[in-house]
Amino acid sequence: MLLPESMSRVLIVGSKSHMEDTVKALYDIGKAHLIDYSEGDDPGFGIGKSFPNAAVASERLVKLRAMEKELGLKEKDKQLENPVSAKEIRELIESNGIEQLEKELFSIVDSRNEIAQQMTERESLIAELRPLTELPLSLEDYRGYESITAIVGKVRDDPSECLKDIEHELFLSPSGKVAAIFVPKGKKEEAMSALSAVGFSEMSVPEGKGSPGEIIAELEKELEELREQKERVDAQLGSLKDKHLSFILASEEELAIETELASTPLRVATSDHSFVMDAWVPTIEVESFKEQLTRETADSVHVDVLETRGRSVHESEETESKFKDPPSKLKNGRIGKIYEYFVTLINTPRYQESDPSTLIAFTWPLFFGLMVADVGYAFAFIIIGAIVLKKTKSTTWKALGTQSIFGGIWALIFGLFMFGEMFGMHFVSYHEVSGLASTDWETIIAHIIPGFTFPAWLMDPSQMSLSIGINKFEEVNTLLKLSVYIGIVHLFFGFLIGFFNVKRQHSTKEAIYEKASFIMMLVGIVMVSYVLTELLLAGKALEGDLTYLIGGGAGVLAVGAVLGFRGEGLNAILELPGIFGNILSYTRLTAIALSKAGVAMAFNYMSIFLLYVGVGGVIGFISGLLIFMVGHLLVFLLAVLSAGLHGIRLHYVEWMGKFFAGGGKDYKPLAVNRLNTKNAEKEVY
Amino acid sequence: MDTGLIAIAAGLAVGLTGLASGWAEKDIGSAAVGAMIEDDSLFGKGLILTVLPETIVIFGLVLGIMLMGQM
Repeated sequence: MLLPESMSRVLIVGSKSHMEDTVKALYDIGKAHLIDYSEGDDPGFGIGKSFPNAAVASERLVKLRAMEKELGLKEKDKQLENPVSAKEIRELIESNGIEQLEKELFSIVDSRNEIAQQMTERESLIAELRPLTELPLSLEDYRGYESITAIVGKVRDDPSECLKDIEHELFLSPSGKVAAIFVPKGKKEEAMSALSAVGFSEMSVPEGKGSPGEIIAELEKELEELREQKERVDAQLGSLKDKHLSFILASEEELAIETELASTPLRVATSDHSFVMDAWVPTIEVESFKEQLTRETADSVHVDVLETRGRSVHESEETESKFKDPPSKLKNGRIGKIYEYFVTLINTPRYQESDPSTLIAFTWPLFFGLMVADVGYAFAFIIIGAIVLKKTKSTTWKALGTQSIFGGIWALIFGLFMFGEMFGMHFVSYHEVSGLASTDWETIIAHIIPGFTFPAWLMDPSQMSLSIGINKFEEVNTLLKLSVYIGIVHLFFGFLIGFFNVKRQHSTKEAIYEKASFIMMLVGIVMVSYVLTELLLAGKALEGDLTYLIGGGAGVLAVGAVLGFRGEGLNAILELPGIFGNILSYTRLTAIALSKAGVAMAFNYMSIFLLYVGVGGVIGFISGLLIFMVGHLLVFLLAVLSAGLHGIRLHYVEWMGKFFAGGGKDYKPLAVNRLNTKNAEKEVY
Repeated sequence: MDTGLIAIAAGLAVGLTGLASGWAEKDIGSAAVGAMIEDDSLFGKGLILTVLPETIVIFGLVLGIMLMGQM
């Protein structure tokens, strides 16, 4: 049940003239995982050439993507609400729709670029002229002399002191920052080196006539006009984008599909007149695949089922390297499918090994619920999960939303029937622990509605023994023991899956050495540890059943260690303390539940009395409410992180480490995935 | 007297293991962020690797809670 789908290898042979039909038929059927052909695998064969339409299609695709960039299309806008008919889009593309749009778009883009360039020119001219407005000179005053030249630039201090040895005329701006110095032509170098003492940096003076201030005013007027023009062009671009958005997106998709199809021969072996394709097809569908392909290609290709791959590693080792690893098509139910995300986050399961998605779908929410175990937070998790599921389309968020709902449901069950707790407070206090559990919901509600009690059938211990609520802080040892037991069972199943994996891949003998040995060590450690805790902590004497138990445990442990040593050498012995650590690691189930309940209780302790005893009047009430809300929000966020992450971590590290190797190939059949286009009639693409 | 010592012991157990976890996580965390810059899809693995040393503080927390039970 947990294994990936069984795969069969098929061989498709035909004459080259039928290759295009065959590729289209394969994409239509959508079952075949093509095995890439690499040059030189077989004498007389070579890699095929793309279909003739590939060049045009990919050229158009490049044009489209360039246009998308110009129009500023973002990844998130790339989903149309109403898919467009693929046939119409193809007709539009064929009648040079893309080329026309490109012409229209780029004439606008060109004029926009031109305006932008003109604007930049004017802006830089203004920047050059701006400092000159501080000097009382017109532009023509700086040029056109026979014997003198002008040096214009910024200075830090008054330059007259350092220029006193050179014949000159100085114009200094009122701010003292800009200076124009007129010197005889031969003295420019000398003047420049003298000016370096006041931090002089030269500026260029633009050509032209008139006072800089007037020129700037003129330029700014022009800039304003250009800005208006640019806005108009931008609006044009915007309307062009709105008008053609569906065409652009749909034809991009259509062309991407066409390009992919047309380049499929690059993965196929061809000779002068024929082609040969190798592909993996799920075994249960192989007959219908064969039948459908023969029908769709009008019996012009030969399809042969070469083998159905077994799960033994040796069987795979013996084949050619490109046929060694069949792809893993994971086989799970509706919910298990969603949890595949969390498994593939680590790695894709191999063809020969169990895929734990379905099991994780059961145990992770269970662990999560045990750690949260609070009716209040449970409802929050369920509601948030439902909202996420409703809003999202991405696999990641779908997986997280599902986990939130299932985790929330378990948290609700544990919170209601095991701990009887909401927002860190019990419904009814059957246990009065002074200083810790200060109040309960029944008392609070009774304060508002006098005489309120929860119905007896809901809370009566004699009728429903668990509903009284275990106080997390009173029953610490029970809860710790519970989490250790959960850990032992969980690890046991982990090793068991490992056992069957090895048995399937190699042999029963190896499975016993590699995995059964660890199961025995686990059982032995548990038995010995149980007796030791009874002796050391409970102070019992070593007699009766305990003697048999510790003896048996030591025996099982020893046998397991010997088997493991034969199977894996010294490693097996070194991993012994690891098993012990793994078991203890599950105590986090209780530790996190306790820490969260503790923090929640602390916030309740701070806020409840402000709220309901009425200390501090209105201000007390408001601050109590604030503390309550912010505090519980904080605990909730901590629950997401701690309960969620630690729950999955127990699976990834402690549990999957016992059997999961990963490194499988994803099953990627040749198939067309349309989002923005749709096919009206039944056709390939 | 005993109660006080137990409380101090519990505090030390949680505090020191917390420091140890943090110390270990800081290196993994910065490496994980570095890896994520190269490849976004490593977020999941990075997050998991980063919380691995959290086990240390969990053991401390369990010890602390058990010690509190002795008070």
